[in-house]
Amino acid sequence: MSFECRSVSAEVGKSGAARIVLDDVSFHVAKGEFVSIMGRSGAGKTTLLRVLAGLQQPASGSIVQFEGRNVDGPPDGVGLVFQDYTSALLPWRTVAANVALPLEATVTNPERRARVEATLEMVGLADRADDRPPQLSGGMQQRVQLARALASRPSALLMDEPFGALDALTKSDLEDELLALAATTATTVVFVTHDIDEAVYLSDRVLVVAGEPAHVAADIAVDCPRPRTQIRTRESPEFLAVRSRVHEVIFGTR
Amino acid sequence: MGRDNGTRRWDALNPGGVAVLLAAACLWEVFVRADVANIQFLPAPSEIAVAARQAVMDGELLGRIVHTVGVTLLGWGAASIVGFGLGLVLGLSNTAYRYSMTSFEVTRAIPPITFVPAALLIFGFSLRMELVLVIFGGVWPVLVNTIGGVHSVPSELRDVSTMLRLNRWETVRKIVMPAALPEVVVGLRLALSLCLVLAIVAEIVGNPEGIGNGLIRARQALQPALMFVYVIVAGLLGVVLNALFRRAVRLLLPNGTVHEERSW
Repeated sequence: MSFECRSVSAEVGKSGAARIVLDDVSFHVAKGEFVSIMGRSGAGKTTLLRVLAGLQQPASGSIVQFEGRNVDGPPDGVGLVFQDYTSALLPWRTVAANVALPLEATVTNPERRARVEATLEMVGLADRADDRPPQLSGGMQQRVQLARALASRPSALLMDEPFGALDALTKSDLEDELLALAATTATTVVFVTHDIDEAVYLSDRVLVVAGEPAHVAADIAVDCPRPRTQIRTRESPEFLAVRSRVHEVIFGTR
Repeated sequence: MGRDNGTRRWDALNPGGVAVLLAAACLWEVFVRADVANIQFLPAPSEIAVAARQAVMDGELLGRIVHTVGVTLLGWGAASIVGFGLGLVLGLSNTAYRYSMTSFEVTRAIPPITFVPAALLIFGFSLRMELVLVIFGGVWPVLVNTIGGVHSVPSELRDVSTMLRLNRWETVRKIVMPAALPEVVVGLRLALSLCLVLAIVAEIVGNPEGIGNGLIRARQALQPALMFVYVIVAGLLGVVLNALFRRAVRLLLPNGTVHEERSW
């Protein structure tokens, strides 16, 4: 088991003015599984992801585990890709140095260089290693973030609306690249998004969170075969069925 | 960015601008020679030039420049170290910030010049008095900008450093300091100009050396042309120090490290 959540509650805001955003959220993510967390904006998706990442302490009584151990602080083997790449990357460092950042304290020089190179190769940015993030397009910057998260070879990736700020074409490129990467590295992925099509296309399961405070409103398996392709998968009856189902959970039947 | 600045510097030296400056000097010359306003101690530019030549020849000017620049740089260096170190601590520690900011706000509001009489009394007519004044004045811009720089580090970067498991020192060195650097550099530049001004003030009232003292001596000797030489030299020093600082920043901090202020 990769992630395991049992009756997780969480608050945001300062104590005193805190608001309960998650209440009694329970689910699990198997090793190598690709799970999307869907929900309306403000539903608590990001809070849930931060709880999984160990960046936010859940309320007492919650049980959050990664690979069988309780999460209190970022667990080893978990990488996080932030939504806003412009503030998550270090603009004064080159692309290669950004990717090297998590390895600097732990991995020796030659090994580190090799790993940075290999990771940049994986995301298709080997030729931009010496550029700085502001010189790259949005899609490329998000690839740098992905590379940085992958550089320490995590067994699980948490992604917070990573493609939300990208144009549609770049987005579909990156979706396919992410699927290929997750498949070759056997990485577990928890993917927060508010795009129904994206969630269904990428995932083995779609978790819909809804309500105030939010709980898991539906846990929907996506039975589309892999490898998936943008055109064929999205046309398939399985895809359309799941898509309608998610739509129903979020909007009701209308 | 660097190229941009280069062209701007050349624009500043454009022939039209120089022509206007020369014309103004000529006008001033005519104004004084024709004795239009009957101002007793206003020297003509030609007289200032002669006095300047004299001051250069007998070595007085160079000696005074060396003193003032030396004190300015020494005081600025010390103020920068103190201001940056203190700013880093206050920017990073909310507790330290909460307990000390009131004192700092109150102290900062006092113009450094008002401390001159007290500094004179405590330290006498000495280099020490001059340095104390320069350092005291120079600390504030660096301190305030460093705190501001640390506080403006995006909260995402704090999460990034947590997720990448950087320890506290790594976070400060690899994320907080470089992220705050652009604002720190602004503080350093403001402090440099301020330190020069304060050095000259200290020399005028206290430490009998440097350009400030040269000004006073020239006044006492009724040499208005020499006084204006020092006035102009002080102005040029400000320009030169500022230009050197900018060049040093560009040389030491490669592209992208400091996002220089944009001209809108």
